[in-house]
Amino acid sequence: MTTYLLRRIGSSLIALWLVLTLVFFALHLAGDPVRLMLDPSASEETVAAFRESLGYDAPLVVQYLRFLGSVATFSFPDSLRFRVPASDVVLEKVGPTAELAVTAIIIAVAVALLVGYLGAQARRGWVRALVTWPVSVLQAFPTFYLGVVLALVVGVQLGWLPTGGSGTPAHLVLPALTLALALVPAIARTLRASTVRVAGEDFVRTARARGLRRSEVVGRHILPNALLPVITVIGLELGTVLGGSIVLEKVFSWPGLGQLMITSVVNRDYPVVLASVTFLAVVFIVLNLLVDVAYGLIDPRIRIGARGRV
Amino acid sequence: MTDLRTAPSEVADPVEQIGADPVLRATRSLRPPLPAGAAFVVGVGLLGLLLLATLLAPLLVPTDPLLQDLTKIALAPGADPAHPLGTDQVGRDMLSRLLHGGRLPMTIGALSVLVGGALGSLLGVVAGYAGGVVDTVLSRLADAQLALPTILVAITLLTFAGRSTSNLVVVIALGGWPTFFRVCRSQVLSTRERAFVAAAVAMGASRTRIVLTHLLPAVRGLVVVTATLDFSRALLVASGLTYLGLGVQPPHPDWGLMVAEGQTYLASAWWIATLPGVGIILAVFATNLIGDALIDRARR
Repeated sequence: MTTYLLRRIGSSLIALWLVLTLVFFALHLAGDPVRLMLDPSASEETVAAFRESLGYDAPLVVQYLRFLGSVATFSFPDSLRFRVPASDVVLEKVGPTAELAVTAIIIAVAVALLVGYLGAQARRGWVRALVTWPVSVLQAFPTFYLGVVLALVVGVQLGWLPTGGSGTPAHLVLPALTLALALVPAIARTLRASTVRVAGEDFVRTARARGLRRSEVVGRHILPNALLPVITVIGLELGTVLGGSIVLEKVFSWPGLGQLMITSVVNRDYPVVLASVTFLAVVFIVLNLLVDVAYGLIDPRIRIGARGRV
Repeated sequence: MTDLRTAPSEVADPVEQIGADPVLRATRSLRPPLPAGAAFVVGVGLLGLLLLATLLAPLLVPTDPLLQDLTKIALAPGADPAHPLGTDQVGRDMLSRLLHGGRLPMTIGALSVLVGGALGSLLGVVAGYAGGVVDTVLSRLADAQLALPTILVAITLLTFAGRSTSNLVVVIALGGWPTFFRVCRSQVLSTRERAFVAAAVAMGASRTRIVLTHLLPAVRGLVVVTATLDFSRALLVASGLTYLGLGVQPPHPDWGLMVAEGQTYLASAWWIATLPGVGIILAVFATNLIGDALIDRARR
């Protein structure tokens, strides 16, 4: 287990270092970041003073090390728009985004359980068609467009839910549901495959032979085992969750990190972009690591396999 | 997990490889229950039609997609014979904007698959054949790339390096190359053990020659399948980024941008935001049909 953990942490660190280096060089090699942040008409003195205040007059290597240090302590320059440290601006918006993402994942697993299980159990062709057709069409929907369509139908035409903003639980429903629907295909597909595989195992046959009721066989023997791979899929789909929530925050004007990031890009508030990209990258990589480790803990074959085979 | 996925001992039938690798499997769609032949024909037909309609847009619809007619604002589809699909919030013809709006996403999608596919396949063949340190370094790089969400790479590069179409292609290609890399690498790992490669080595063929004449042809089919699947991903990513305002800027017609612009008028003129999305869905759906049919065929 220790070897497995160390190996996994090692590749996470490489990914982290890669993304930080990418961010740094994108910022410094693509042009002069100081001029990007300031008005084009700013005088030479203003530019020089601003450059010095940001520490951008130091050699690139020093700046690079300083940047890595600032990431470690999560301290970034002040936001140009809000005049407070960019890290504060970012941390303030973490709550709403986390709320959206977690709610969506819970809904997605519930829906996928139903769809995947029905798809695996259905012997009749039309039940399967009923399950697989909508999912396969759903897959062709860009997440933002799904949000717009749901806003139009459920929000505007039916008038059941607000189409944007935040404050009440009702505001969370549409964005979370849309994000969940974006996750369903991948989870349902895995669940379907693993259900079919587990249902063919010896212990399921034994359970049946012992005369257990169908609901008991499914609930106690098939589902718990079939659910294992879902953890991996959620880990792999964290990118979808992240990308989806950024886009959906715009669709439903949900006041989270995505919204903040996009407005900061438009307003050229680069410290905030820098802080939010770094923050999300770190969170994303750490979550991925946790998912893999959790999977290794639950299923000993993974960690033994990692040692024995390579 | 990472180690399991890339373990050389996992080499199997290349098509099975797509099914066994969780990352590659995630790129596959849940297919509609159609026979592979029918799905292929429908997919190719639909995508071909869309490509023709968007690329030939200036010939098919003579109306300028940028031409505003403030006397005909937000006409519903069918209300005016001159504008069969209606007009938008400033009186521009929807049909013309819809067809023109597909040109950029299709071009960006195709170019990024080409760039990402060429890079990933080449590196994958090299890694699989060379093995050792080269393989380890390249594989770790691919893993690291996969660990980075495309959206963050996109926001970083497009913010600091500029929001240009070529940067958009680079961003999408960066998200796609690891898939090609893995597919090619694992295929080469099994091919290089085959007798004809050993024979070529025995006859004194150079490494370059073995890569070019024996290994590249072996991955050709798989690369085509992967490229098809990657094209639908590229279309989705490209339209998402333009929706966010990170791609092409107004007033240029573009499916993603049109949805974003029309969203304000959802309550009064639903067609402005919803029609452009249909274009994206049809293109992605058709591509998925083709990809699934190709996998089915390879499997048989």
